[in-house]
Amino acid sequence: MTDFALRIRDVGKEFRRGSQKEGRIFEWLKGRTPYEYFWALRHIDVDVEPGQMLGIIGHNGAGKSTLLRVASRITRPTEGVVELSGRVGTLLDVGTGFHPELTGIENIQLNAVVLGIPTATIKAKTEEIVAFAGVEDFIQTPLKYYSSGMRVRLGMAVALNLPHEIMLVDEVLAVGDASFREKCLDRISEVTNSGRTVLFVGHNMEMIASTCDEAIWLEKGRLRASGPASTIVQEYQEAAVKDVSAKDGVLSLAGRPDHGSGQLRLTYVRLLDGRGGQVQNFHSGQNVRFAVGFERDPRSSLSAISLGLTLFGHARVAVGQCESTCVTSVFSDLPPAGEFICSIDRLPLLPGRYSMGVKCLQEDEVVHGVPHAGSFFVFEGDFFGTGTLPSPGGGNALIDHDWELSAGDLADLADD
Amino acid sequence: MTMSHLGARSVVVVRPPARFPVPDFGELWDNRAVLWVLIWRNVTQRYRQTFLGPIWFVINPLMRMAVFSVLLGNLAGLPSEGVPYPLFTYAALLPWELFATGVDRGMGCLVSYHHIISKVYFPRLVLPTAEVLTALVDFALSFGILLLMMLAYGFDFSPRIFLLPIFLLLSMILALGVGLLLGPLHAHFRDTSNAVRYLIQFWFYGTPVAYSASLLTDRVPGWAVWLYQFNPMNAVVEGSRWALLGTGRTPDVMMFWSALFALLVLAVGTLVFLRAEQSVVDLA
Repeated sequence: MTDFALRIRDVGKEFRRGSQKEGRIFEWLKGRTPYEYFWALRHIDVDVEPGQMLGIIGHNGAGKSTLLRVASRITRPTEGVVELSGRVGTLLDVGTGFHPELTGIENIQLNAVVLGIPTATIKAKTEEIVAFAGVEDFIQTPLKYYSSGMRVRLGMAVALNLPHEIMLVDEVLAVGDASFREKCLDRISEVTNSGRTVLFVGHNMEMIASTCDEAIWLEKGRLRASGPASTIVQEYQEAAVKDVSAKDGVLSLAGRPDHGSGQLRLTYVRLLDGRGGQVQNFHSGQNVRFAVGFERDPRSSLSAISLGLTLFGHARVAVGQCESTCVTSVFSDLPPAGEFICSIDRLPLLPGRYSMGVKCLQEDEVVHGVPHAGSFFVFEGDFFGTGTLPSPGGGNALIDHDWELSAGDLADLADD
Repeated sequence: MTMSHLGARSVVVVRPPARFPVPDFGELWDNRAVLWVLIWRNVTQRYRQTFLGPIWFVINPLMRMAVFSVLLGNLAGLPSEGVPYPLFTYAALLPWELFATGVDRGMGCLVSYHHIISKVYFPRLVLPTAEVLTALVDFALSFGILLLMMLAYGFDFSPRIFLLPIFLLLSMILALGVGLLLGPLHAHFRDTSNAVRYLIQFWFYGTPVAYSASLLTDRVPGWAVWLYQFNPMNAVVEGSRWALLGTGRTPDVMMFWSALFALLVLAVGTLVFLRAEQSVVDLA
């Protein structure tokens, strides 16, 4: 028994980038050098203890998947050493290691034998996997006839239910319906609790922060930071603020996909704090305002205008909607240009990245709508006035609430 | 780099590709279950969406035998060393097909299994080995037909038939060696399969499958005969005929040398394959 599950020492992976459009001989005759080389990974050091869940974050092309491939021995590193203590199960993208011509059951068996699992164990595990994936009726059907959802479920079921000591998972949790995702997350925490190790590549920062112990942050193939998952996720998100299009707190709507009758155009969204000062990001519990600028076609006659502002969390899951009709505000006699201002007293959002959509309606008809109006960050703040916020993983919304202790049960309370 | 079974953990060390890799036989042995699953898959899958199913195993060599018998045996009247011509060709065609299918499948496996090898690890040598052994399964079925034909023609079986496995083994060694040698090339340049198709054709006519070796050896100078007989497939085909029908060439020292050459091909092929397998996944 070793004191590590995975040890990565100064690992680098160099790839060759070459065009293969026409026959190589023609490129050769034209005197083109067919290849250029680049490092997809360089100088990576990672230690993972048994039973740890390590999150791997970074932008697209940062080398996350390459790292998993090297760690799972699918491809060799160009330099450095990887040491693995235990069997490695890999789940790279959808339908890993799955052969479209093979039936569901044959695929399970192939995956199991590749992991070196004894035949008797395979038989017992197969039923478990089939039940987990919920594909009982299709188990004798070749995989190519599966729906993509079924393929994902089977892939997850295999990865999560076969006994291996190290599990490498690449973003697959992003797919599948909510209940299945939940089932998988439960299973992953069971797996880590039983002493197995999980490496998890993901883009869902809330999930990384809530489920992983440690995290590493890759940037352009280099290790930018490593440490406790929540710390790394926060650093990563703060760095990402710079990438958000909010220049000095103004999100221009020009050039964004839009729709509507065009009698009025929404032109920008300004982020304001409670005193009306322009800001680039918000804090939980802060008094905030969204100022939506507009220009009206002077020839048009608009009346009974209402506004809608929708806030989205990760993966564009809607968090909530501010509709002016719900709060009695319907606007008439618009000036040729101006701003609609939406105020929120105590911003009920957990820290994270949010995006929004805005629309302007006349009765039920959309005058102008911009579904992707840009994004902003919410940082930690004192929503409850207690200096604490709920732990991540429980959704994006902050709910104003109270807890109290009662000696009896509810029936007693009713009697009083 | 052996992986243990449940419980005990052993440490696997992954290093950059070696310049002269050697096969890890322990790891291969640990993965024998993968081999069986792949062979089973190959056998059951090949004819899954067909009408005649596994009957094709038998039809393919029978059709070729029929073509040769009519064209070469009847029309051209080629001599067949006192054996009925269909039997004469079929006995040689089977070990030849074992070789040719083995090369074809073994060579293509890095490409045809790309979606698996790019996602899970197991020693890649298992793949071409499974392909060649699959060709042996094909052979076994057609061999049943051959035995029936021999009975029908009233042929006596001699105990020499027990030496047949030696020649089949030689055929598979060569098939695996050539497949390993060409597989990586095929992964880099898909036109390899086009070129190899012609290579196999030439090889076929350079081997006494459809005609009697004496047709050539009687007419060409000694060095050409030497070259002709150095071809390990010559040893396979002539040896198989000898073991089954009593004609052909009695095993001699030349067969030994060509067998040694086949082993050399296998060794070089293994080295080439192991070097290539470390990077072939990156080709995509």
